[in-house]
Amino acid sequence: MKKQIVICYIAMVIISLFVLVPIILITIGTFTPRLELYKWPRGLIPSRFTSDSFISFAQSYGVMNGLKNSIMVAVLTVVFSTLIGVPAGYSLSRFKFKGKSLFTVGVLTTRMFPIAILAVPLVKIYMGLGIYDSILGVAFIHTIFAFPFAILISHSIFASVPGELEEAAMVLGCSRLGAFRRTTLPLVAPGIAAIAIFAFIISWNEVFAATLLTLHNRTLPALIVARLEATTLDFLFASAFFMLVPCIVFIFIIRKRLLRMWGIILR
Amino acid sequence: MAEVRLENVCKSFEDVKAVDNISLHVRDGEFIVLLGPSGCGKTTTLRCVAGLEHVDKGKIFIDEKDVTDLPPAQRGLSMVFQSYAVFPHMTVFDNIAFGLKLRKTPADQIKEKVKDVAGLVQIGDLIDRYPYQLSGGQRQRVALARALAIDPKVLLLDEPLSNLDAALRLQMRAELKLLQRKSKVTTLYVTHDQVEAMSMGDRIAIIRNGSLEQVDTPERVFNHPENTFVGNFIGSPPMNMLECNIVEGSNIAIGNFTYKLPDSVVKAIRKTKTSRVILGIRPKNITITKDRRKNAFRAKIEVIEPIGEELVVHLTVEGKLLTVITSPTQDLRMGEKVWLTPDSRKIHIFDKKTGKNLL
Repeated sequence: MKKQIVICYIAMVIISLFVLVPIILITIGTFTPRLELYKWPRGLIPSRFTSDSFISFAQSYGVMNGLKNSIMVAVLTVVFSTLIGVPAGYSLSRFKFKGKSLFTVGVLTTRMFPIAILAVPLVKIYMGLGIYDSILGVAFIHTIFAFPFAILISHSIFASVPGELEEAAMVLGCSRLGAFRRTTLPLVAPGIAAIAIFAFIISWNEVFAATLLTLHNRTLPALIVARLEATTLDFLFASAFFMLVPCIVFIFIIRKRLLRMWGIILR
Repeated sequence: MAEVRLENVCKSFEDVKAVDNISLHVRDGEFIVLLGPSGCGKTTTLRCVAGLEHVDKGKIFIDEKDVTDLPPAQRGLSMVFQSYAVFPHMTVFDNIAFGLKLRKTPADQIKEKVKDVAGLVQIGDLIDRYPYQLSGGQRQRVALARALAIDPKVLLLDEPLSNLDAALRLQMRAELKLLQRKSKVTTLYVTHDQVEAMSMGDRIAIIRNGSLEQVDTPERVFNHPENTFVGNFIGSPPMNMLECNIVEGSNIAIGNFTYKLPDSVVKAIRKTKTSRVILGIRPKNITITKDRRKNAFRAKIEVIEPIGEELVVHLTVEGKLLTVITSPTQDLRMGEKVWLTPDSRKIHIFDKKTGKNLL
């Protein structure tokens, strides 16, 4: 028993370090004075902390526009995938219908084909539809990435809320919609928020499709990747840090809300 | 206060007929129990009355008003679910007040009403708690209070006691019955537990495979089962059923033994002109003796189960298994051969073919 706990702790430390060390190094690198980055040998802790690299990254050409694009694409992705995924998840958990298991498998198979295989046909189709190099186009493909998760996660969230709660509310005087709004919705709201945040992160981090399907209207990751080869260390650190922060913040938000939600429902 | 009438109600799920042509008249203020084995359609029947299932055929009336196509909200009834379905994100107060708030009841009246019903089911001091802070029994009371708060015309209870432990179930059984007597609300109660049904119901509706087998008072259901299913289902241990032939008009043959039937029974059988019948006799209505008596037949004791106040004896008669309940003062041994005398006033004769009680 004790031995297992020790092993568990060691594993936890190793996994945490694996994730944390790069994050810490990136953070330190971002706030190290530019010239010190090229020094050799270089200490772990810089002589002073400065936000020069960060500011110059933010001010460099295209970054603010890329940020704007990224946010717009991510917001659209959140809206689309929640609008598609949550009602689908609700139906899967509440109703019996023909081809239900086939549908569930079908949802998963959308993730079976790597985007690299689809790249050329996709560009062709996008050009045909006239949505190549547009915010909407990127949001569409990101929705394709995000909505299977939205369906499957919301399916399990709705399944954890007994349907009898809605039925009880209906008998007591609610319409079907009213019963959903008063009983199920308050219970799943944190879960839906988590789904939205998850979709946001998927879109925010996605590089390949965004690079493929845009030319001028690049999202931030696509923009950064395009510049990787011809850029300086300080730009790299600053951009990595910039991409990282929202994810970390969001994951902390999700973590708290997920725990609270499941704490209530599981009791 | 209301009466409920089901007319030829049918409900199928894909190929399964859950409710098959059920007609039932529940009188005003009556406590009626829908009893049957699991999967017999009793819960579906209740859900049809509630409006949670839409019937395929037939009509449902509450107080002469056709509610067949009305949504649950407009039927003026309330329901307690097997899982209680207490809203986890609301306090006990908000749970009980839920239906009242929907009816736009003024806040001070809500407060008063909630206090009333909470007191009635003895959870007055738990009003500010959340459901997860309550025990199963307390949640059950919240569900009940929530159902009673809206002064329903009809109260539907779906196996409300099945998730409680044995001691609490006994207590709640008595409380529920008392509560119903006091409030006089028409009640439909679903259970698979015959003891619950017998002890609580004004009348019991016994359902099998979606059809009504018998609707009667507990006394009638026990003493005058309409068919072999009811005879078997009610009573524990179940009624003994012996297949026999009618010989010489007034005797029936149980293997090599003949048993003389009382004249009244003979008359009833004659009318039906059947020759193969089933003799039904409850374990308590058979006497075991060591010496031969008139109208007795030979049996071998296989197993004896002492259960405190009585002795459950399993015997074989001509290879058929029979159960007798007797007093523990009787000195019986396993393997012993004894004589059995059924009480001729307590026997039931069922038609072998239809299963119908011929008496």
